[in-house]
Amino acid sequence: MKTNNHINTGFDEDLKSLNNNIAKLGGLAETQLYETMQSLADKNVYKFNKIINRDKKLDALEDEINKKVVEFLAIWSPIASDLRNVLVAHKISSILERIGDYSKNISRRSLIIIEDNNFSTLPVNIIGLGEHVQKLLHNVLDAYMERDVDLAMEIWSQDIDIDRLYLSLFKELTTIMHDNPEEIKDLTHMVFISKNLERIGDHATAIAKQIYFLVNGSMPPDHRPKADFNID
Amino acid sequence: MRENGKMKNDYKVKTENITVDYGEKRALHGINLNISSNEVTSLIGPSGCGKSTFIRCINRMNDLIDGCKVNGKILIDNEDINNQNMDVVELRAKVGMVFQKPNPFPKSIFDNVAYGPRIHGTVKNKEELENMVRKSLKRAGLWNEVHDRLDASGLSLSGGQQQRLCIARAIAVNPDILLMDEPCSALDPIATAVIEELINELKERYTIMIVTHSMQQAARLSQKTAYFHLGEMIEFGDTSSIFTNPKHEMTEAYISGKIG
Ligand SMILES: Nc1ncnc2c1ncn2[C@@H]1O[C@H](COP(=O)(O)OP(=O)(O)OP(=O)(O)O)[C@@H](O)[C@H]1O
Ligand SMILES: [Mg+2]
Repeated sequence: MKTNNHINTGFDEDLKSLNNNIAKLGGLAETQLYETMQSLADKNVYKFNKIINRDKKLDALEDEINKKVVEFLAIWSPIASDLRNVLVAHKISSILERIGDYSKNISRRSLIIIEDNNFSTLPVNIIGLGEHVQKLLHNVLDAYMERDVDLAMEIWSQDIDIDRLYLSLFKELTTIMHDNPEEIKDLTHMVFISKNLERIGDHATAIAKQIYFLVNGSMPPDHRPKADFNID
Repeated sequence: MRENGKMKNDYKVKTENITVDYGEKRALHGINLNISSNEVTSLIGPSGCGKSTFIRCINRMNDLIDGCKVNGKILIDNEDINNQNMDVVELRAKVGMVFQKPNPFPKSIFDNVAYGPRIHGTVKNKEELENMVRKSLKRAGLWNEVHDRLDASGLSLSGGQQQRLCIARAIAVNPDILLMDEPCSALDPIATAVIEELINELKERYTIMIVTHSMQQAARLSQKTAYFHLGEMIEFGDTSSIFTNPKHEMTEAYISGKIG
């Protein structure tokens, strides 16, 4: 982060407290995703309700950040990189809240699948996709805290891996559906779980884009490779 | 009035390698700055960096300061203003100036505005003069407040009104260029908003240079911004990019209120 301090020390204090809240929200979003995927892998039903309830904490923290952002803008009228700092904090907090929602949704669906307990096997790739997305989220939060554009851009270009994993998982799940029509309900939940993981990956790359904007003052040039989405 | 059909890149004011010395002390170290027509250009920078010194070059006000020496080239409409043939009185009619502290003459409101047109003989008769005074007061957004007391002293007005009176006085001689040195620094937010609105309208006709210590004001009002520091121009460009993404660290530090 920039080392230059503001003459008004209150400015730096307010900005720091805003950034601390983002760090807290990021930590919560990571925990939610981690515990969700861990419980699904272990077929452990006990944690899901706790995870679902904890989502309220993320919502409350996002509200608090929104309030702080409004106050900050009204009091300090920040410009240049200070302004980008606040705008990006605002945007990232809403992205993190969305990521929390996806984890909650995965928890709900996982609970149903595990309680039904009549599905053959959990496709290994669902857990693999989950791990990949977790790594992406973890790294992008690191990149944000360190204002590390290179890392952010690396993450941004990795979104295609997530798309490919999701695509192959989708094909695998529809093939199983075809052979096991009696499990179609649980398998549909699994399709949604994979889709939610893919969405979280997408949001993580949106954060990466914000980091680029924060540091450079412009959006990254959009020549990122995209997976060919043929879902047929 | 300005001629139509001007080319877009035709600068109203061009300055080349301007240096200014006050006796032994150099206040400006070679400024190159070109000002486009019908735009507001703001000059920002810490106290003592040379903003006032620079804009005073444009209407040769520095000539009036003992021991002040200006070097370099200043072209207005491609004409060198330090040329021997230049009529300084005419130049000051063409380049109006408004100061930080409103300075109406101790005369009536009418005479304050009528002063320039009378001196420069830009009106033929009493009727034309009255029209000019009315038009200028209207354009400065003061007419409605003073039309029924044009005989009252200019000094009887409030600070914000006095500043608008000085603007009316400056525009009454139909200048091409308006120099404003911190015109709102003594005004409350409402009076400031009125003047800002006025500047916005005036830029349709005039080329305006404004010195301001309010970053928000520079951002709101101007299309171009120049950042000065210790007699040098550090950065010049579109206001929108200077205030969102300045290229120079010193500019960033200054506009964000950071310890440089
Ligand atoms: N009449 C003068 N005689 C001697 N030195 C002067 C004179 N006017 C200005 N200076 C010096 O020239 C430098 C530039 O002054 P100037 O008034 O142009 O700064 P400024 O950017 O307008 O500052 P401020 O924001 O405080 O109005 C300063 O160092 C100042 O001390
Ligand atoms: Mg000054």
